[in-house]
Amino acid sequence: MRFLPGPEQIQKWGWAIAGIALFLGLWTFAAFRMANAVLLPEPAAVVQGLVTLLEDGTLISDVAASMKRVLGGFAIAAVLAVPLALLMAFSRPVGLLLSPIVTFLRPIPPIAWIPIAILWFGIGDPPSYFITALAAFFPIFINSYAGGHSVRPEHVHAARSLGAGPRALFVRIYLPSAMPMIATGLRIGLGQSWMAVVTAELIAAHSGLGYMIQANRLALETGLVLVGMCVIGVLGAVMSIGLEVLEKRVLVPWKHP
Amino acid sequence: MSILAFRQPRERAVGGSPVAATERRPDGQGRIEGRGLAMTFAARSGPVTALESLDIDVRPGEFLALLGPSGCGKSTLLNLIAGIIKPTSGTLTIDGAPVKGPNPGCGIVFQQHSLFPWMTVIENVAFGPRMLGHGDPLSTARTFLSLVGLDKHARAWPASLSGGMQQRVGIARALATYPPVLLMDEPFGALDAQTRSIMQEELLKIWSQFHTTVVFVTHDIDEAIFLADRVVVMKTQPGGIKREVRIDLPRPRDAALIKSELFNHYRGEIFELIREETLKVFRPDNGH
Repeated sequence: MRFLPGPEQIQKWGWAIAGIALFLGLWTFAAFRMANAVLLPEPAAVVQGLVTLLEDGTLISDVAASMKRVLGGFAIAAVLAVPLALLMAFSRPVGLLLSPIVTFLRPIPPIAWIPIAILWFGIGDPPSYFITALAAFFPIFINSYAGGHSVRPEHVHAARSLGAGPRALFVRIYLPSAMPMIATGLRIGLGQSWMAVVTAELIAAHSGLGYMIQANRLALETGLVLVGMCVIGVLGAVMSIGLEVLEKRVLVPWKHP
Repeated sequence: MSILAFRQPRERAVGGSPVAATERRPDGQGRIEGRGLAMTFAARSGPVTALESLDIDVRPGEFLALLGPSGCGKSTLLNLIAGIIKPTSGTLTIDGAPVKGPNPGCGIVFQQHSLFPWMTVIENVAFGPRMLGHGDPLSTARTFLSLVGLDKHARAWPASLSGGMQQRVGIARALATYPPVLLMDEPFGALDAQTRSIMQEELLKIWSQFHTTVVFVTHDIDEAIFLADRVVVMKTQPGGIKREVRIDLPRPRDAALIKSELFNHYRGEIFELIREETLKVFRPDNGH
């Protein structure tokens, strides 16, 4: 039932496809007028580059390297940020102790950490994990912290009047109350992490999609640079949609009946 | 004095109401005793006295309505009994035990439904039995859901129900732990008049099966008279009890009762009492 597209669905897809076609049309027109394949290759040349990179296997290994760093860093960030944020939200002393540190560290963009990451961890995977984890940490932390504060007093009173003890209150009331915000934090964090991996690889790695577009720029292979950019865009969108589905089906199903 | 008051044997006759409520609950549980209750809140303009030296007794199985204009402290009194807030002074006991916080001896139904949105309807109702380790919480929940006529919505999320249905689930959830006392804070205030009238009848039907002690806060005179054995009319500035009115209407009651002469008599009497209090808010000088 859900998989059969209705008229509204078809219309939505129609507009989406028209939008992409318009974009490709404008791109082709601009490339034709510019007539310089180094500055702006045609879409067709990008497709050709994609086929080449798929055939020699380098694209797959670059994607794998970037994905590993993003998912690894994201997992580290989630495991640290969610419990820490909830602890700060529920314990006043811990909150007062740590909030100045967070307020100070948060505005530092991940890219500003790259030099020190290289000094600490060298070149390759470790600094990239550090940067992706750092990028994901703050969105997850900030949202989980807000989530920890979003519990409604009536829910706590009702739960206590129904016999819930401290443990049950945390697991069955506070945690689910915070879950919508935690899910939002995870979604934003994954996006930030994905952007950060490309930045990290531009400078601090010898593999991955960021490294790949940097290397091809130096070789003046603009078509391959654009292949890298397009793959980054598509994978980012796929991950975001994947997490949205996880959110609706698993994390907060009650918000999406 | 207050300490002596709650050390008295439970069988002692309390308060002015001769309604034979005690026979309704053979286990004699659900007695509420408050002595010298006072509640002062700190506000920016200085301390505000919400309640001033109030004594209250509710008998086991009695249906008591707290009625009054806003600012009379009726919700404050309910929150005190629930243990949600602590009195500035005075003592409060339920079945002889001092109230220390929200606890399973006291079910609560709030004005806005407080169902847990992340649990299905049946899980909400099963929550209390589960927490208290009662056997088979889901079948208990099913029993109470059919009692409020919502067994068909067991698997639904609370958000997908109408306001009246949500409150019915809230009542089922509060009753599923068989609490001796049920506190209701304007539970039907957000419902339309039709739904409200039906809910009142349903509540009485359910109550007649359990004879839980009910303290019901409302600002609706008809609602208070229709439901209660005793209506406590509250006063403002400072908050407290103005007068108690015993409602000698026969039970079981149905909606037709509202047109009866006796009902009208109570309505007129209570209307005057409340009007005096409401005017006091508008003309503070003539107050007292």
